[in-house]
Amino acid sequence: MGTARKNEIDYDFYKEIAQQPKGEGITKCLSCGTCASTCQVFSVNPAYNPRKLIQQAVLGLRSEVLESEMIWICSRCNSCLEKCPKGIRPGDIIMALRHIALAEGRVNFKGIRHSAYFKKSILQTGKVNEMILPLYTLRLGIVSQIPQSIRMLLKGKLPPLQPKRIKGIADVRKLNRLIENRRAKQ
Amino acid sequence: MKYSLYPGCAGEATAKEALWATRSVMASLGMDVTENPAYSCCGAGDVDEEDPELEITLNARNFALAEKEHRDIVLICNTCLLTMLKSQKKLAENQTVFRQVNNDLAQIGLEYTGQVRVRHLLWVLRDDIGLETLKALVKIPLGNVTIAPFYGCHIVRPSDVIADDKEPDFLGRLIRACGAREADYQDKYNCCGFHILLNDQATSLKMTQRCLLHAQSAEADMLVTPCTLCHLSLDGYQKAANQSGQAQIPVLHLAQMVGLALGIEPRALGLNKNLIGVGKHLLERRE
Repeated sequence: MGTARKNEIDYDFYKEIAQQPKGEGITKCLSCGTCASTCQVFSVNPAYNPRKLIQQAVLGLRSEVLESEMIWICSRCNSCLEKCPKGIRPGDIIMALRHIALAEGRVNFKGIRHSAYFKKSILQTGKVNEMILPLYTLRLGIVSQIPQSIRMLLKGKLPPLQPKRIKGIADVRKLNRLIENRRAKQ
Repeated sequence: MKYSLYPGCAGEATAKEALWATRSVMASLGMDVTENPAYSCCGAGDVDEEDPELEITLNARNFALAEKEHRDIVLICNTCLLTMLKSQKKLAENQTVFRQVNNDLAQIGLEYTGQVRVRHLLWVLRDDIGLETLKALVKIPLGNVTIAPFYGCHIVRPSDVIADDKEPDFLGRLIRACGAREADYQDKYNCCGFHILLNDQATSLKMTQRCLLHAQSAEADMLVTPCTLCHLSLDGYQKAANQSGQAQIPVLHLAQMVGLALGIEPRALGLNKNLIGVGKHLLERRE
């Protein structure tokens, strides 16, 4: 598991996904395409196709799926969750793929950095630092955000560089330590 | 009824007008509300992708804090709503998780019993205040204005977590109660694209623009949304989303719309903070 190189097939990949908290539905996918036809991202950007992603995963194209930026483009609108005729929650399967990609840490995309920043920021201040989040996600690509930042600045809505820490941030960090220690022992 | 207002990260910075407006509206309605500086971020579904256990625990801590004060959590962001309700569902359905989380909370002197109610301001207005009461309190009817309701995703879907109507109409009824007309268009339950604003901005803005365009085709003068994140996409990023030549359309947060109808000063509703100004011509169309 997890060793397949690009274009190699990992026949057990679907089992790995099915073991994730949100991935169990994958074994029942018919590849009917209802998820894609209700997908609000697909309707403006057909390069993002949940049916294709899930089918690739079923076929065992592990690296191709996990190293694709595509799994980070689901907008979590949950439309496919409502419409899937097999009730397998396609969007949740995409979230399970994200979870595996984050745990592996093999690739470093905007999407991965975006999700990973939340925990980091919460352990620092208790909140998401909306000033650093775009920087952390986009890196040099941040220059594309200058016009938007100026608009926000002019309205006094540029987030503070260092937001105030929540009361009891030490408790939040302690809770995280308890969870991580437990995980380390497993 | 006692409430604890959960601001959400956007409500404190990039969509602060929504939080200001909410405070003004709740005060104007005489609601017993406090704010707790100890609340953490809900995790927004992003922490869940990396560390599901941490997201549930963060929310359980927030729930425990509200329970200590015997207050309902009231919030103004759809994603905070869904994230908290998901955590609550998991804690209710899985005894092992419930016990484990409470063991951890005990280490910081807190306990989560499962009593706290997590509620969106929209639901609180509907269920606790009531449409008839609100109607009676309207001081300045919005008048000759057509408003497009924009619910956003996370107050509607998934239906196994959001026990509310699958196709709610309360925002529309609220628009009419405030004295305006409701625009009928196809995008009211659609996605504004917010959650991929950084991951794929071009796609995100196309989604935003489509919603705005359809509202305009339905002859809406403004949109109203219950969500700070939809507000940020539809208002905050509208100038980036619009094609050249496309007309701008103001977007109000739910609390701003209700506040206007209640006769609250526009500044106390943060209207001057909206990126797309609510023009005098719209305010003057009020009766």
